[in-house]
Amino acid sequence: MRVLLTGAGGFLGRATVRALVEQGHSVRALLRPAAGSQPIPTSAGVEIRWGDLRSANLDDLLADVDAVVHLAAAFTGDVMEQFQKTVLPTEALLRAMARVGTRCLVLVSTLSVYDWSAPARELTEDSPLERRLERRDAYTVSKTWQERLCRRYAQTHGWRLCVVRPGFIWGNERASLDGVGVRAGSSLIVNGPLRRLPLVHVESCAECIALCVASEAAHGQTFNAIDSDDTRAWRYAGELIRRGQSDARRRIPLPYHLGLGVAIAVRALARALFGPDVQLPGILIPERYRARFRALRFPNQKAIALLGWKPRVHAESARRDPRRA
Amino acid sequence: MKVAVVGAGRIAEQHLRVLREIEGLEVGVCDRSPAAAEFAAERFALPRHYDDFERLLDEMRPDVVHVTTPVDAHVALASRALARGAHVLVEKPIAPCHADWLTLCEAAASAQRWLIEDQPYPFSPPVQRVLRLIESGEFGEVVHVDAMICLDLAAPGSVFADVHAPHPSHAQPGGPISDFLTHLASLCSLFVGPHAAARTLWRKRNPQSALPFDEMRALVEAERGTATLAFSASSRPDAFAVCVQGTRMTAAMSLFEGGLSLQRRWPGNPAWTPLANGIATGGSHAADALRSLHAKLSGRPLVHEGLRELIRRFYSALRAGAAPPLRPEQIDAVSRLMAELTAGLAEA
Repeated sequence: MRVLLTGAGGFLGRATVRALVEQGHSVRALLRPAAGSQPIPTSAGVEIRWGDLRSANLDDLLADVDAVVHLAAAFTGDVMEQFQKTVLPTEALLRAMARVGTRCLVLVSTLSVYDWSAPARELTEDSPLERRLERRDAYTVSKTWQERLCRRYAQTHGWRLCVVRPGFIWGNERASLDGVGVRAGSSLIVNGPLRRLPLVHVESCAECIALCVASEAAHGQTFNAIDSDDTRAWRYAGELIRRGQSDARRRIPLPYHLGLGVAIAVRALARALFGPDVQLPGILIPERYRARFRALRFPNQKAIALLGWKPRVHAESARRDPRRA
Repeated sequence: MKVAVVGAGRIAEQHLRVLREIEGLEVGVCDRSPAAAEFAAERFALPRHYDDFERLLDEMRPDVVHVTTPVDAHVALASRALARGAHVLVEKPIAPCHADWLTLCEAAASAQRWLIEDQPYPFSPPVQRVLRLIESGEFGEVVHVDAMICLDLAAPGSVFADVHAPHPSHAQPGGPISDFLTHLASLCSLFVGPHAAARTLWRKRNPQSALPFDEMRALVEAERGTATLAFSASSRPDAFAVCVQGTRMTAAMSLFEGGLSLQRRWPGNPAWTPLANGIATGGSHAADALRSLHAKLSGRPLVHEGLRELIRRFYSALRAGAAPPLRPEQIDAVSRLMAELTAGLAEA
């Protein structure tokens, strides 16, 4: 199949180009020239287009394309900025797909769209989505709207839609500590040090996304792409510090419920002092704190069973042997 | 009263926040992007949202329309709303050029509807306080106004420097700086009256900048005094500093933070004046900083207080059947000055 990949210049995008080619697809990779995109290796079956969904000729971009893998999204900025940089370009892409007649879409979303206070023990594809978006961060708002639009267009036009929600993506190039804790000077405060992390290696995640393109079983499905939840936050943070992938020097453990209690108390006090619209850092907003640090299990059986996905590099084993990553 | 907000972007958010506070309004929102219109409607709990302005006019029949789109759509949308019998509030700048403003003004006159521009800073609390001092005679006559905006428009992530989705202001003479000229021109016109002549200097200080110009200076001779107006994309920190010099007092305002300090001649020995002014200024700055912090924490940053006051006065006037807070001749004076400040740039 000929696949249009948006956001191809990013960390996950470059791995997805490789995975799509490995699975026999030809790729039209859309890269933004001035947005930190790194060159991707050109190889047979990869056509590079420089541009941006907000200004590119989308009909031309979609010409002869059988499927779209939509990865492009903004990660920074306030609610309006992320909405304008994530949702509006997605809307333009969906309109163009409807015009041109492209009927297969794989959307790469995020675990953030779930309501993290709802599950009792496990976060699965059937867990409820966040409905009180005003309490969540700009990224969650924009990704929720992005999913909402994609589902609406797919339903209206009878497209094949598959949504992939990756866990914490890591690889040797990059390993984020956002979901692990909070930086305080040269220290990393590890929130809920014993909780399990929903880690997915970037190559493994890319393979899952690529499998969704051609798989009949993926039609109409949502998959949480998680290698395993074997790794604990404390150990992961220590490993990244040891390998020099974080500039933090030491870890400080903070029990999850203690941090949540502080957030609840601070918000209550701040509301009493400054009114209901009080502005606080995300770490002090209980809903956002839960979405980052709540201890849950993260089963991955659905993607394995329906897609035949085999998490290629397990996070735990890759950490032990970095050469495998 | 039925109100429509056309354009659901960043500034529309501020209009919708204020409209939410005014009782008795039924508000709808419209945007070319159905998602943007729906997003705004959901966030502000609005019962109606549209992606077609004509359909909005047909179904809603609004009494007031706020035009908050990019400037190139202002004239068409405002004209249409006026023709359908709505009063109109248009975001700044009200029109891409002075001739278009005159066209709009005529349309409002023939429709017998009010048309005002969002000129927020004349309605901000510090400016209003200075106006009261001038009115009472305590300030004396205004001699000179010095207004300078410092904003890093070319910073990474800035909408004005996004090469992938060029900001509509790039089509205006002077580029994105033109988007801020209304603020400078409205304060100049407010304090020293309509301009008689102006000399300007436009520069591109940073050759790597995505902006056509990143610095602007102007010296204005006006009916009641003089003004120096400036915009700098290089000076730090971000600020909107306005100094009004009068025959009895000088007012220094920081309009992004809502700050004001006054320098005056104190009674008694003139030798004590610098000390007394120093103490008073220090006290003002401390109080302003605390007020600004409180406002930011409360989710009501002072930078938007002027817009809030303008909209509230507009609706009070409409309900009372009185004249709106900005008269056409005031908007005209600002539009003429802006045309003068950018004269020659379009050709260049």
